[in-house]
Amino acid sequence: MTTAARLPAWRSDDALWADAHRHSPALPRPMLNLGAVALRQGDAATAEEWWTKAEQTGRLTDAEMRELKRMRCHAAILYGDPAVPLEHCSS
Amino acid sequence: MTAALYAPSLSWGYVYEDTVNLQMPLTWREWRAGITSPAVMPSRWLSVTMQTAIGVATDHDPFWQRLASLVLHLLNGTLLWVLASRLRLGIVGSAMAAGLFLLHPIQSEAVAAVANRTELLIALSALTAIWCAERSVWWLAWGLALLAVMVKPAGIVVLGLVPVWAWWRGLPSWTPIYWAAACCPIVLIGLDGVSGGMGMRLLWSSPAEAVLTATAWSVLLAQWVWPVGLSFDPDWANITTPPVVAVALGAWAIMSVLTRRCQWVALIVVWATVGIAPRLPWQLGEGLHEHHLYLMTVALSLGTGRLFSQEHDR
Repeated sequence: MTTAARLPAWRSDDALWADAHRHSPALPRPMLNLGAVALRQGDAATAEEWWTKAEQTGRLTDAEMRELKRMRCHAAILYGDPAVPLEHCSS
Repeated sequence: MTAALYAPSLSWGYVYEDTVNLQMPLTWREWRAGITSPAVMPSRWLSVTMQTAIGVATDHDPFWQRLASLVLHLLNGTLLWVLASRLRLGIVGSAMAAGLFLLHPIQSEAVAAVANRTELLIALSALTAIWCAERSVWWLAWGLALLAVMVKPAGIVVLGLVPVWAWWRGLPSWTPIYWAAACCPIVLIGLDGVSGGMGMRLLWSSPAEAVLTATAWSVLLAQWVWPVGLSFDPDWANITTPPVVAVALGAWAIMSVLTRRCQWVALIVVWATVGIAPRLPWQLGEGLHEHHLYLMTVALSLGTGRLFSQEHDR
C-alpha cells in the first residue's frame, strides 16, 4: 500500500518536486525545481514566487545560486519586459 | 504482484534526470560522442548503451524504458529468491525475502525513475556474481562484478561485496587472493580520483561528515522498517552533531554485540557498510538518496526473510 502511495511522485516533474516540497518544506531545491516546472508551463510569475521562497530559506548552495541565476535569465529572455536590462544574464 | 503494482507507472513520462546529462543519447551518433566524452567514459558505458539501444529501438517511448527497469527489478527479485533458497530459508523465508525486496516502497525510486536504472544494473551484476561464486565459477563471478564498474562509478562496491559474501558464506574456494581482490575498490576509487576528483574528496572529507552520512544512512535504513516520509529530496538539516554522535556510538555498540551473536546481522552490517562506502565523501543533500539503498536492501531482505524461516542453518 505504501509503495502504491509512493509511486505517483514519479508521474511527472511537477508531482516529484511537489512531493519533495511536502516532505521537506524548508529545503530550497524542490522550490527551485517547482519554479522551473512553472516556467516550462509558461507561468513566469509563479516561477518567480518559488525562486524567491527558495532564496528566503538562506540555504542555497553556490551551485544552486548559479542555477537560479540561469533560470531567471531564461525567464527574463522568454517573458521579461524588453525595456528592462537582463541583469540575471550577466556573467 | 510487483508487475501489477508498477503497471500504472509504465504509462508515465520521463522525470527529472531521465533525459539529461547524457543519460539518454537520442541517436547512435550521440551515443558515440557520449561514450568518448570524459563525463561518461568508461564508467557509464553499459547503462548509457542500454538506454540508447532501447530508446532508438522504441522511438524514445518512455513506456519501454520504464518496462526495462521493471523487468530488471523482477529479475533481481528472482535472483534474490534463488539465493534465499540456496541459504535454506525455506519457502516462507525465501518468499518473504524476495517479496520484501520487490515490493518495499524504498525501492520505488530506483524502479520508477529511468535514470536510476543504474542501481538495478549494479544489483543485477552483484546478484549474478554471487550466484556464480556460490557455484564456484569464480572467473565468471569476477567478470560479472566488473560489469558493475561500467554502469556507474559507485558500481565499484560490487568488487568488495563478492568477497564479503564469500567470507560470510565460508565458500570452499575462499583464499587470501580474494582479500586482495577486495582491495580493488580502494585502488579503483583512488584511480578514479585522478580523473574525477572523487579521491581528493575522500582525502579531504572530514570524519564528521562521514559520521553524519553514516547516520543519515541509518535514518534511511530505519525507513526500511517504517517507510513513512520517504522523499526524493530529504531534508538533512535537522540531523545535528549531538544526535549524530549519540546515534553513531549507540549503533556501533549494539552492532558490535549483535554481530558476535548473529551472523546474519554481521552480513547486513558489513554489506551495508561496504555498499555505502562510495557515498561517504559527498554532501548529504546531493549525495544520498533512496535509490542508493537498492543494493543494500539485498542483505536486509535476506536477513528479514531469515526471521520467517523454519530452518536455522545458513
